[in-house]
Amino acid sequence: MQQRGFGDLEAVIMDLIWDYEDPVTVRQIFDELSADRQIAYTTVMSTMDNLYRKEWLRRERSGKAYLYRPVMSREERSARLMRAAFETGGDTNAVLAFFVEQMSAEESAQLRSALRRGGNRRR
Amino acid sequence: MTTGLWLLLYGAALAWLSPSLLRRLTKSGVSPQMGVAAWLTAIATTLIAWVIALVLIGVAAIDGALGTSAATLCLELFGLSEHGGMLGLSGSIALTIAGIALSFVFLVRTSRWVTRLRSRSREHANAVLLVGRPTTRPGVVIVDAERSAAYCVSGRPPAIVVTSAAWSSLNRSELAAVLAHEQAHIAGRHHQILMMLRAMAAALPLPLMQHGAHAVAELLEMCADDAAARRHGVNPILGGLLAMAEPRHPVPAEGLAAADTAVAARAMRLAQPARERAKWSQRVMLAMSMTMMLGAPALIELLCHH
Repeated sequence: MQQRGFGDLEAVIMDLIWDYEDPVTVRQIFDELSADRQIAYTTVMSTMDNLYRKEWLRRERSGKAYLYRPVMSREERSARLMRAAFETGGDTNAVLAFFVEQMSAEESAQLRSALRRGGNRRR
Repeated sequence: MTTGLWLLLYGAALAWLSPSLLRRLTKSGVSPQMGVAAWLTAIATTLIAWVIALVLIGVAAIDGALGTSAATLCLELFGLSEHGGMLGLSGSIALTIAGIALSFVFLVRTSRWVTRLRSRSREHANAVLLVGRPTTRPGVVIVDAERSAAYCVSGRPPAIVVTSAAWSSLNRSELAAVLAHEQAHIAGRHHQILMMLRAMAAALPLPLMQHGAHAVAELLEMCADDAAARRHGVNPILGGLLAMAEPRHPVPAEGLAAADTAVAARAMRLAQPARERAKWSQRVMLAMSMTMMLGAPALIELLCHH
């Protein structure tokens, strides 16, 4: 595991927001981020606005500022993404290159016996 | 018959008849790169033959309607002129209009599909990079899932996803091999090839496009396997294949036929690489079939004018 690089600010911000229990303001996230990196307030604001438009965050007005919260928890989001990836198998929507497609029990057994035979022949 | 009509027929023959032949030639994956090249050659030759046929018939139609034009003179220089032939003027005109309409539909649908596939892929890559936990390798993220899987998806930047189940079940060298496999896809721009083929298959449902998209996907897996095996050896990648292809309920392995699934074919060629002679004869076969596919239109032209 490693810290995220400087480039993926969206990911860093999502990490922070998922860790908060309560809704957060841009100011809170900015304070947190500027503790360990040089960053402009407006950069944080526009990134969070982006995440709102991409429907990763929802927001409501509270006084002068917006309060942001995640649309889905990290677990829900991962589960949804993985379900989509496994269901399509990369066929209809995104082009995903799976290392191995899930095999049926029969196919897997076939593969093992074939490898065993192949191994014997080689020796 | 005239060159244009023969070329139309030739394209159709390639589109309907070449898939079974190519599949037989490339299935073993003895030389996956050349296999990919052979499929792409067949697809490109088909499309080019049809475009040239359309131009020839179209020029002949214009010619018939307006008298000799500059385009005809130009084609005559290359010995490609058409003179009415058995189609007749109205036939040529109808065929030309139909051809232009079909090409237009094909282009629009293909580009729409490419746009759709590309934007969905980018969205997916972006989402997994946000939701996944980063690893020491740039662009590789771990996403929680019970199923053992690894895949890559193109985007800006592209992403390699390893599920938490796979991350914990693979050993260090297997993991390195699996990641090398996925990196080979990205480095080789395999996604771009697949996107294009899949879009064409969706836009023009001909046997060649359908089988081509499928077969090339399998061959590109083999290319990536080879890249990973070159860096990490055969055993880690085989181990990774076996570990991740494992179904949830294993059954005893009695009385099963020869390996004929795609994964089995991949594993077998890694476990038992073909001998040099077999490799060379395969390459010669593929090179010959590509030369024949590309050379046939020239032959048609020669036969039609002499």
